[in-house]
Amino acid sequence: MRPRSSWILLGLFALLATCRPALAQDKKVYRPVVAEKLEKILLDLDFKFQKVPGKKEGIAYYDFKRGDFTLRLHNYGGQDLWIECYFSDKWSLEDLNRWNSRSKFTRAVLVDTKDKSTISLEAQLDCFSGATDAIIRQFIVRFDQETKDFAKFLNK
Amino acid sequence: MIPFITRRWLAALLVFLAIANSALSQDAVLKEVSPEQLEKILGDLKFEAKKSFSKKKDEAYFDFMHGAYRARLTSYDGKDLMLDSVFPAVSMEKANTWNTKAKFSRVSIQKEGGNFFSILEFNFDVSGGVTANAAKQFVVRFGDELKEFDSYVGSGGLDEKILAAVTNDKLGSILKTMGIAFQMKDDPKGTGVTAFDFELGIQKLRLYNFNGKELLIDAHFKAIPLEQTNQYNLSRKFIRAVNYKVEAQAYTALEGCFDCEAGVTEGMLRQFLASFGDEVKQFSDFVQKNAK
Repeated sequence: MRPRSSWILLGLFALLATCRPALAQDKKVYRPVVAEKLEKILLDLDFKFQKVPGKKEGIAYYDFKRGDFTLRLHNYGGQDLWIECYFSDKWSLEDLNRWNSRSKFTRAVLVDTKDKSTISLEAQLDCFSGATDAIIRQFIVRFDQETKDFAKFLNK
Repeated sequence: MIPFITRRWLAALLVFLAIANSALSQDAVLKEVSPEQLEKILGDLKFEAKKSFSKKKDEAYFDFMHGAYRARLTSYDGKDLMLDSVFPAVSMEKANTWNTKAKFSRVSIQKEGGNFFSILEFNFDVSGGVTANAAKQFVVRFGDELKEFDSYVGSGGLDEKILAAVTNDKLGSILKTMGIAFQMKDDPKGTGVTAFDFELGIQKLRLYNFNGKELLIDAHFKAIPLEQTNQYNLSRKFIRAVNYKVEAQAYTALEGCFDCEAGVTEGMLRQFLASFGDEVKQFSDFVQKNAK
């Protein structure tokens, strides 16, 4: 019968063997950010998305729900990413400016269309010089948190 | 009246000539290629190109997406063609190694506004004669060169090491290699925030390093109305314009933020700084234009 310590060691080795590829991917820089890569990241985050092809080749949108919010992630030819969430609350430019002055990584803009005004909370990631899985994950997860913070900010 | 049999033969001959003509035109030798012919070549290859011309109209430019890469086809008076695509900067040694090994393309390191980048180029001398098929092969082959170069750039290049935190030394070193003279403001309160002050043209900029995990860069301009601030934010990526009032002094700041929590490469830092420099110029033009 193998000693208990051996089983523990074997278990540790097995754990390291599975973690190493994932960690290695996190440190691998790639460009462009291809659809398959982005979709895997979303799936690994357990974000169930609906993919919408853009009108131009190389552009795709990914819609997914996070609680009460619908987020859209844009992939512009793998060169840059854009993530946004729309709010229908009526807020002044002064209030949006107040958010922009305190927020770290997002901006709130007022989008005027013929029918109505909408607030877009958005962030972009420049991938021209490359990205890693960790960077893209951080970008998405960070925005997810900022969306919740923004909703609280609007409700104050 | 033409006999029926002769009419049938004539019809068959006409069809044959039409097909042959189409095939021949692909193999017809051209001594120069017109913008219209280039447009057709790109169209046949299913590339959607945006056409433009130089001021003297002697150069035609076709900008298009070659797979995942932005490419430009330039026609120099129809007599020689060049395809090029911009990549992040690589070291001189890496560029030289590519140039010694690559068959058809070359890379050069160029600098614009403090930003270094690599340009992959592929040239074709048409003046000795070219067929449409050869021109198409030139465009298609560039796609292979793009992928190979991209893979080459990504393989342990100069700027690819992931930095877990952005040190002040690293930022200082990057600013120096970009030819930017700066003043570093120490962190007297021990908050972990260091500021780097420098100028681009006449514009003063400040880069904040928050404990190596976040960067914020900003430039201050005279205050503009919030409607214009919002309008600018709607039109640009990677930055935001924000209005402030500090001690009764109103101003509009252009800001760029970089989340370094998940790691960052030197190349990404350079790109962040260089692209903000471009944004400052754009915003300055915007402020001046709207001031009139």
